[in-house]
Amino acid sequence: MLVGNIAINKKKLKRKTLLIIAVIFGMAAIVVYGYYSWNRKLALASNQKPDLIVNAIVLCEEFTSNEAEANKKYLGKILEVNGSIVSLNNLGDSVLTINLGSQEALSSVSCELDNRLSPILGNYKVGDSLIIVGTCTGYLADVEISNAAIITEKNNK
Amino acid sequence: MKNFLAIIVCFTLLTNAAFAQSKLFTKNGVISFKSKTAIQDIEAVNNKALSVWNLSTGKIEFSVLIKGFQFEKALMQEHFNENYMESSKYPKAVFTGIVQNMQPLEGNVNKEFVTKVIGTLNMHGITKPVTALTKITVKNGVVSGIADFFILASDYDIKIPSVVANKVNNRIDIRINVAAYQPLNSK
Repeated sequence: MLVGNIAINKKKLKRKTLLIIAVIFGMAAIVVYGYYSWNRKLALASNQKPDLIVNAIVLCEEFTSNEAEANKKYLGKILEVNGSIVSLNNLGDSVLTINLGSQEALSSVSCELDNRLSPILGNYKVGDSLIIVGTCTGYLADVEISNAAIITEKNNK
Repeated sequence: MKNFLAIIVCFTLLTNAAFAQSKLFTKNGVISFKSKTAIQDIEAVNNKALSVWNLSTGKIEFSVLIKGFQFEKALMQEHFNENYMESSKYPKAVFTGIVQNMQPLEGNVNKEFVTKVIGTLNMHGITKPVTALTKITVKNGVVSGIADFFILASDYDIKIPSVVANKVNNRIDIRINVAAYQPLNSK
């Protein structure tokens, strides 16, 4: 009788210990997950998958003709924009912008590049064809794309 | 070299003459804000603010896209857009005001003066009055400015859950910084 009880108690203790270890691991996993979630930085622009593919001139026309409709379609989405470079801007090395679209239009697509990717603006010039992926943040004087990355390797020349 | 200098002088005089009747603008205004608490500071920056300043009427305007504010942590940026600012519903914030006690900016004189901009801020669907302390600088023909003010998130119907009340301050300090205004040529 006594021996039987000891055997059962040992089993119970083993199960309890395993349960405690499982709970501790579970809590540790939650803490680690929480830490990484909290400290996560914005996804590298080059790793983003586009929701929509659009031409820069067409995108500008949609926003200038009906901003509300264009916002419904594009605001907050990851866009792959193709177009011709109308200007390049380098403000103190930390804010790098490439504008795509048409020289004749009042507005262009202004893409603020993710500077973690160290893009070299010097590699590109006005008139080059380019494809850029980034998040559409809306429209001010230009269609604005943020956290953008250039996804064509070569220029068309 | 002499000809080159002559051209530079003429160009500078022409651009200064243009100030008197024209507007100034920039697409690269920097707007940053900060929430300070004992537990954490929350900061974000937007490098693409649009500003138009009509020198004859004194009216100055800043527009900024909420989704363009960049945070260090992605989670903060997502919460800011989805929970606090509802930026898909209210994509822009616009500050409009009149610069007080304006001094002439043209002429080849470097100057710096402090004044106020009295106006309104439209954000999250709500418009409230704002007065910003502003420093305007003219150096080598370039006009720049820094404006500071603070807002209460609750004034703009931005709800800070009580759970995070000790981490997110209802008072948000805002700074607008324009490094260089360009003359606006109306088309």
